[in-house]
Amino acid sequence: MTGTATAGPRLDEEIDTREALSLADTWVTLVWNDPVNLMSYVTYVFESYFGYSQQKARTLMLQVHQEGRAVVSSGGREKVEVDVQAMHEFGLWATMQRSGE
Amino acid sequence: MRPFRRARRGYVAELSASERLVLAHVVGDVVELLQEQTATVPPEGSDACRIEGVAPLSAPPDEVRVPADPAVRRLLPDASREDAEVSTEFRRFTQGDLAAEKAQRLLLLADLLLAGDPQDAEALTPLIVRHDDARRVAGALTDVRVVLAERLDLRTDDQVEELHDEVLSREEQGSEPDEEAPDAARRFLASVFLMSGWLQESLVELMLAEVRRAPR
Repeated sequence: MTGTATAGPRLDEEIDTREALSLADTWVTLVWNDPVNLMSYVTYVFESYFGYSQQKARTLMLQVHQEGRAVVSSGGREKVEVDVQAMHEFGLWATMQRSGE
Repeated sequence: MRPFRRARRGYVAELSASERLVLAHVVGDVVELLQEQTATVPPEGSDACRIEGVAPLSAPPDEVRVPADPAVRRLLPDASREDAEVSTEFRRFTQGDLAAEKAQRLLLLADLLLAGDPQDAEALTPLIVRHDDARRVAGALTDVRVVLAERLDLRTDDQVEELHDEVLSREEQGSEPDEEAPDAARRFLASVFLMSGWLQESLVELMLAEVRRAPR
């Protein structure tokens, strides 16, 4: 179990990168910092909705908090639209854009 | 107020009747604002015609407008910062559903707050959130805080910190709420903002622990 847990996030990232390279029209979901959302809530959203590991969710949450924004998912336009809608439903401030913009 | 703890029947906090009324009042205001700004209020009597389990059709394009109120624009933000067409199309397909879900879960929170019949305004009574409702209640608390933050002009993390200090120092001084004070309205919103934040924090900590317990 320990081994699986360690390999998890690395595998995720590999898949993310492969997806990003293989799709011509790739979009990303950005989550922006706001003064309202609690760090614990943002972490909860990243873990429960995206299924990210504790470590990955925490890294992304801190990136939002400290750098003002983070890319939290990527894919085709429709997939990213679904993610942005979910983020808005959770009450997070999210936008989408073509990757590389 | 006592923060949420985990119990068999759900997550349970304790609030006084006056805390419940204040929070429910603000929740009601947010629902009203949201419905007025997005015009999701169904015509009189149309409830009876709705078929259970069938999602309403997306609104036709000419019925979706960008909310004029900045607080509601924050609840239903533009999906793109640079591409107006992306934002418009996103709004057309999602705004109706998002606004309806936000209103429904705010009403759920209001119902929970107004449940029971406390005799004493200051006695603490349990606020029970079923495990299955927790995500929606946490979302409703978020929406309330987003609207209050907009009204309080909170733009940065530092401003929120200052607000905490301001309210806490007033409480430490034991000063009674003065309804005649020039900033009474701001003080009221500030105390509700903090109260809903404390509630949400304790609820979310428990939900996060639950997510981590569940097998992936």
